Amino acid sequence: MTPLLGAFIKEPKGVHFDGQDNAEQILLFLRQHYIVNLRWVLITALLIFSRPMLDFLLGLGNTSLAQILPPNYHLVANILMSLFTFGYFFTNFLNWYFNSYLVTNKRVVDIDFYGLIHRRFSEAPLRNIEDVTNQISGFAQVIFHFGDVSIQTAGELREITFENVPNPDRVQDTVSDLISKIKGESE
Amino acid sequence: MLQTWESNLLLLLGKIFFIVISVIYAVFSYIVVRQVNLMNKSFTTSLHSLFTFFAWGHFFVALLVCVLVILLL
Repeated sequence: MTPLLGAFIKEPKGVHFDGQDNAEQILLFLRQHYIVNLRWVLITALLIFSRPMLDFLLGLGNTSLAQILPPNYHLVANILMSLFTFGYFFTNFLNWYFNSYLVTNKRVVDIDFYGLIHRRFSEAPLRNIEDVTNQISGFAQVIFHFGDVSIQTAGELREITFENVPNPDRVQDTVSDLISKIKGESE
Repeated sequence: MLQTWESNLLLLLGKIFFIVISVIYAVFSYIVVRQVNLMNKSFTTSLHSLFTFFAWGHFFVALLVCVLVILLL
């Protein structure tokens, strides 16, 4: 098994997803580009450094948190702040890690986790895909080369969108090639 | 300058606040455990036991904090 820490992984070895068929092979494993994590990483850093900064600012006024709060409250506040910081980091990392997009030799799959209590698993067989479009727009997307891949289907689920994935042009190429192959085999 | 009864009231309110926060957080951390379990079923990875370990560790620390808040404050 692999740790699967990348955002664009071709043919990941030893990976199996929920509902995968025996003859089904994962050709592309995708996540949102690393840059989309910048906001919560910065907030985590802010939370980590908030306590030293507060101590520094209070020190300028010749006081400290230990002097303001009773010792037990000070200890509990420190522990709770550390716990919140870890919890915030952990849940955001999990959301990035497990929100994924898969392209297999049979279908495309979109696994979404919303907040903490919602999961959506969307799939579209390759033979039902009618159109694949990639879009790169905006400063960050152009600089870091990531964007959206919209997959139009003929099924009940009209569209699956891979959001903020790296190399959206290569994703589109891969899916288009697979569709051509599937449709060529069926003719 | 706060009088004694005002200080005691503030400390009591502070204790109630910390208890409520720590209990709510403990519930949240248990939800994280359940969510990690669901997430690990989405696809296999060599990190899934590490995520499970951190999720349970996070939950037990949150429970410990609840106990600490009640005992220390």
